[in-house]
Amino acid sequence: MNVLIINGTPEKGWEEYDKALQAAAENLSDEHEVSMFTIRDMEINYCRGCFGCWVKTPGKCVFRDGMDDILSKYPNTDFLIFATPIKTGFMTSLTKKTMDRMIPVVLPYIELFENECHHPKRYDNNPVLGILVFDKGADADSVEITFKSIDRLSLNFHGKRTFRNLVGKENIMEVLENEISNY
Amino acid sequence: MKLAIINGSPRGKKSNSNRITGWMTNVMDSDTEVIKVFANETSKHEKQIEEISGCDAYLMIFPLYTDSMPGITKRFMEVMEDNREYFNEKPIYFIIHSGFPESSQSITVEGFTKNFSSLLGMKYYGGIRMGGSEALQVAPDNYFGKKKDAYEFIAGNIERLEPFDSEKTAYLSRNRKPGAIMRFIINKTGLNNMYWNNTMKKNGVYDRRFDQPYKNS
Repeated sequence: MNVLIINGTPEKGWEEYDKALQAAAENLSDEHEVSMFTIRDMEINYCRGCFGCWVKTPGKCVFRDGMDDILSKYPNTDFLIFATPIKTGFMTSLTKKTMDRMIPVVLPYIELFENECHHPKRYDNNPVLGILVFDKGADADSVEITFKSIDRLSLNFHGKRTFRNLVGKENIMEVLENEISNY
Repeated sequence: MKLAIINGSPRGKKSNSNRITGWMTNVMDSDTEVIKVFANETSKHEKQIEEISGCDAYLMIFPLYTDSMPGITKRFMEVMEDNREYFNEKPIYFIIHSGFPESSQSITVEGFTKNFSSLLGMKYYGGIRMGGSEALQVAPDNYFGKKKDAYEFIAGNIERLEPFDSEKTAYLSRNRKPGAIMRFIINKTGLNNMYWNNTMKKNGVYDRRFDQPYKNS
């Protein structure tokens, strides 16, 4: 399986979760092709809403930055997984800005899916979309809203299915392995 | 009264969000002082928070991006939380709009805005979630007649520091599921995609519209 992990953990206060996630990714890579991107260490611009990736250079953003590395993995991805603490009631802005920059993987057009307007996909794959929310300080409402937004994103990105887990640093590895064994 | 308008659009001053709030500020009383900040100026967030710290009310407006708020808006909200003492007990209003015609696509992020308000100890005084906002890029003001009127009306709610009028909220937030005619146009004719095709033709990239630049790279 090809696994793409977006690590949206901020600089400070999450070192133990960060380490556990790194260890889980390394462990998984014995059997799978795993690419993990730690957003805080990368240069990734915020989306500026120009739609250049749809109408000027189809499939490619106007910015040349770390997103090229992430998106070059996307067409072969079986699992697209976001890992994030809860900050200000939702996934971190590091996670969210990366998600925004993924719209080149869909087309500008509108089609109906389940009688709702969505964008058709640009690539052939239908990755499983997953989110791992870190349990430290995470209140139930914020977790539920973050989970729901992944269900929504999965509709727009044509996910094969979604998984959403609240994880502790002790069980990140186990949760990831379980989810990936269930393609 | 002093009102802060937080524009959460990545397009900033050229955004649909700015056009909507322009309708509102145009009809506001001359005694109402408006401070507009643009979250797409990401390097200024900390300074902008200082600028809006003493306001009586807050209006936050943003477009739906990948099913929630844009990353710049989320960043701005995080800095607000870091300075939450400025915002305690203050009224906050939201306008969420989406390119998709169905306002129901914004229900999840609307839930977030309520949760955010309570996390910051602010008073949630209402929220609009409006579908079909991409028409704001091209259509003239008179095309939006009734909607524009409704926005002008709720501008008065803010000035009086009262919650958004429930009737206007329901009108602006109404869900427009594609009906039989729209379904026919989308499924059978593709006419709805004409705008995108024309724009790509103008840019000379129409034949590359299905490009997969990251395939096998």
